[in-house]
Amino acid sequence: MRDAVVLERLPLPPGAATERTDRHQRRRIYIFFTRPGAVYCLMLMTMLVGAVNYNNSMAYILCFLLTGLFLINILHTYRNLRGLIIHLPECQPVHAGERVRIPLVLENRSPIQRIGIRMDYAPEGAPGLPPGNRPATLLPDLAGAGLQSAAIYLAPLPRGIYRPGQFRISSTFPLGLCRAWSYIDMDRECVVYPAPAGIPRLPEELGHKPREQPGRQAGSEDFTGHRPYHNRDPVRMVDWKKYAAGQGLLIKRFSGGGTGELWLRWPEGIAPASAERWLSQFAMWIIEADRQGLAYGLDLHGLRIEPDLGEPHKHRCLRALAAHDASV
Amino acid sequence: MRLSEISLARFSPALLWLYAGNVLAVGTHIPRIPVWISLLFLLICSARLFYSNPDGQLRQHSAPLMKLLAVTLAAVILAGVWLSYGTLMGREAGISLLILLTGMKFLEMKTPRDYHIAGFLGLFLILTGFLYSQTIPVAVYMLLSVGVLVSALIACNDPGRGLATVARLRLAGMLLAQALPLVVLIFLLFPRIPGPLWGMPRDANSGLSGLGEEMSPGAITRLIESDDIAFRVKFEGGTPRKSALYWRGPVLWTTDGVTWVRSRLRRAAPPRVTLDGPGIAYTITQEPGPSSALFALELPEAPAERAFFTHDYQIRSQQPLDQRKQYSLISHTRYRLESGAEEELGLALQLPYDYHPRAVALGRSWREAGLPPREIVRSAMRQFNEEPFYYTLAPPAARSDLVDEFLFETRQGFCEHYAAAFVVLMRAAGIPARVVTGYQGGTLNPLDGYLVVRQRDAHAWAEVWLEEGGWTRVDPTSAVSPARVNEGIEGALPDSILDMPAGFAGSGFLGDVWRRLRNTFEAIDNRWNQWVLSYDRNRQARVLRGLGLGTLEWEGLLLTLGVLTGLILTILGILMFRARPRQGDRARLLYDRFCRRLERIGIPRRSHEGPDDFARRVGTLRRDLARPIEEITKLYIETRYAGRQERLVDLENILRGFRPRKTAA
Repeated sequence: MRDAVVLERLPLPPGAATERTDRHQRRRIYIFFTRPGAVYCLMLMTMLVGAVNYNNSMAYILCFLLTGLFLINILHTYRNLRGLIIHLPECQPVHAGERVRIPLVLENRSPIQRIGIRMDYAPEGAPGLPPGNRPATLLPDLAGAGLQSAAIYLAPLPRGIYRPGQFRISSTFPLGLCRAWSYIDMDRECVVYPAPAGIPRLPEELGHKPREQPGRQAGSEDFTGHRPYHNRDPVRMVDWKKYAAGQGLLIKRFSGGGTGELWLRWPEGIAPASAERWLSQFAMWIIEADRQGLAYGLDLHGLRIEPDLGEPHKHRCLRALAAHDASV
Repeated sequence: MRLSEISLARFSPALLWLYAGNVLAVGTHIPRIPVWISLLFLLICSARLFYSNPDGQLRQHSAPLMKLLAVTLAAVILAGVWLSYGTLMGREAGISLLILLTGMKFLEMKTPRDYHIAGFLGLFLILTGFLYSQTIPVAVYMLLSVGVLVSALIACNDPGRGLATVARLRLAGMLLAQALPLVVLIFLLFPRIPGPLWGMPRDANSGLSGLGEEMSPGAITRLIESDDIAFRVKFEGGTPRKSALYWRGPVLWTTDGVTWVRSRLRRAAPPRVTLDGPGIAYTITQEPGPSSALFALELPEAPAERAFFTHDYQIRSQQPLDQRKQYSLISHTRYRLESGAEEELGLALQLPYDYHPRAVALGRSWREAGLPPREIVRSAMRQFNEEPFYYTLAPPAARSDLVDEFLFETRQGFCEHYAAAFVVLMRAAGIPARVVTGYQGGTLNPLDGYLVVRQRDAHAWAEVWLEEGGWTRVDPTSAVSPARVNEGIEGALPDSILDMPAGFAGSGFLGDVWRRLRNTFEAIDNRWNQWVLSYDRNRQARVLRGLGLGTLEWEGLLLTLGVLTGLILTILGILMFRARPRQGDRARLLYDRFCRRLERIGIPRRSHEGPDDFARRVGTLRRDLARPIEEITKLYIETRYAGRQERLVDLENILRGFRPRKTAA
């Protein structure tokens, strides 16, 4: 997948004849006068008629000066977007109820400032966001030659996996008489996990095997080796002896051997109406189990995730909840 | 989420700049419009500055209240303008309404669209200022106002306030500068349509000064006090001598004893003339004036374009001269002017009943003495020359009969007195005579070779009908004050009236400096008038011929204009979009070269990689290159980020020897 969009044309670094452009998708810039621009043109006509009627040379000159400004303004508005590179990093998942942040990195390779650029939601075909969610953002101004991070915030969304689709990037700078715009495909998944809610106590009846000794984490029977520490791994699984020996943070791994695993199983016969509440409950348990360092597995209808530990596993499970089709 | 696109917070730059621009745009009107309009405009606009909350929104009031307020304000404005002007139409009232409308728009604006409209109204107000004055200072002032309004529009479209004030002004200046070539091009080539497209408002040319159609006591004296320019003349050859520069204007036939007016024979055919000697070709640029008389050196061959000859051989324009007019003529100073109409000679003998008895008696006495007409003319001139007559601008006010009192008592007068008295004497003596008004002389500006004729050069002389010579010019003023004719009005008048500051008038040197300064200003002003203000259809045709485009009709002109505009925009675009090397970032330039060399051997720097990470990765890939790469990276970071510019040379040197190969040596 291409991770950046370049508007109209990739600016070449000085001295370079060509640059690989296969990592960028190129988008055309369109330009047309705005409504004030149309009023401005009407005013120019009126001025011209006045100049002819009074045969007034300065009126002619003013009229032509404003005409010239209009034409020059087109070039400046176009230049404000031309060659702008928009990098599209992955979207961080959030829980329902939180604002979704679509991050952007803007790259300006030319020495000119870029000012007053905004992003509006302009989906092509069926919108990927529910109605009422029409994000519009003023991007930060870009100084000459540099990178700038920015973000588009969506209003809180219900859980699910969204592909917002197309955004319009536009600017009317400097005079507001013309608008230059282009389209950017937000070819990104915005994952919204169910909001964690319900009882924090882990279910024993749902588990395949209940914990035998509270306080001892499941899956800690047979030591099988180490793996590198990942962010948010439970601290008590760190092998501190190895750390003291200067070998860095390592996590002890155990073969679960089917003991002490927590299985979160989708109960039979849940009415679709209460499915959302159950999904929130599951999210709560996943987070709780992760916090306690328990190995847990997920068994939704038709989707089974083997018990495991760690950050990537947690996200896989939460994502499965977000994508779960409650109607089945 | 509603995107707030525009900040109209209290004293935000966008608001202040628009305020300044609109006040400047109204500025030229302030001396002309009623005071209450200026004050109300300022009040409305200033209120808006305070009226918005710091967060940029208008204060919340109930909608009906606001509506009531707006309607009341509009009613007050309409009523006030009606009371001030007696009308809502016409130019003056229209402009006043436009000014107050701009104020109201400024007051109520909420969205960017409102803001833009308020700015456009300001631009339009600037245009209306040009209806009154188009001088260079006014043009400069207007350009500044446009600049401020353009800055305001920029501020409105810069919601993040990315531009500082100076940067915004610079951008506005750049936009205007880039528009300039287009302005010149469009101004030269845009087809000129002769206006007006419809009837002008009645008040379109009020208060123009200049030589009128009548001559009443003091009329010319008032003009003499004016330093305004009547017209400018460009001779194709040399300038004729001053005493030959009689610029013929309205010819006056009939008097009621006080005022002289034109003849009633409006429809009569022009007279025959016999012209002799070499023709003098010249072009006159005439300032707007109250009459439709065009001025020509005596005597012209043919009337100018869109003008005609009357039966007394004056040129009259077909349209009122409410604008500057330019026309070319060919004149001959030696001529014989025949009588134009049968009734002419009778008309030229009429005298008002029971007026000027003593003058009439004197004239009769000459005729009864049996003197031939030539002799009579001569004795009248001798009378002016030998008797103690004075040429003065401030003659004593007449108590009873104008001509008699002047001829026999005060003997102090100005050209109008001499011309009138002379014509009365001639008519009494049975010689047909008439008064000719116009200008005499002019000042040559040595800087641009234009002869400048001012209102002060206004003059009146006489023409008498002689069998052997036709209508013959006689200038009685020359008998009293030869300097008036030979040196022009400046020779005949004290300096004090010549608009010279007191300090300059006394000394010859300072007087010279003053004259030179004035010549320079007037030469610039004239160039402005010739090239900018009088640029009309004729001048455009001449310019086009000069460019080899003389055959183009308006369609062709528009096409040429479009092509050339496109060309200018393309060139500007190329200049604007061309990739410019980063100035003063030599280190980055060198580092880019380093990266390109590594890319060539198959190790491109990834966009997320900083210089250190990149160096480490290349180091693990190619142990043989690790050392130079580490050094180059270190130098690059030092020069670019630690500001150690002196290491730049080292970076350059080491890079010169850095030629990595695809495979390790």
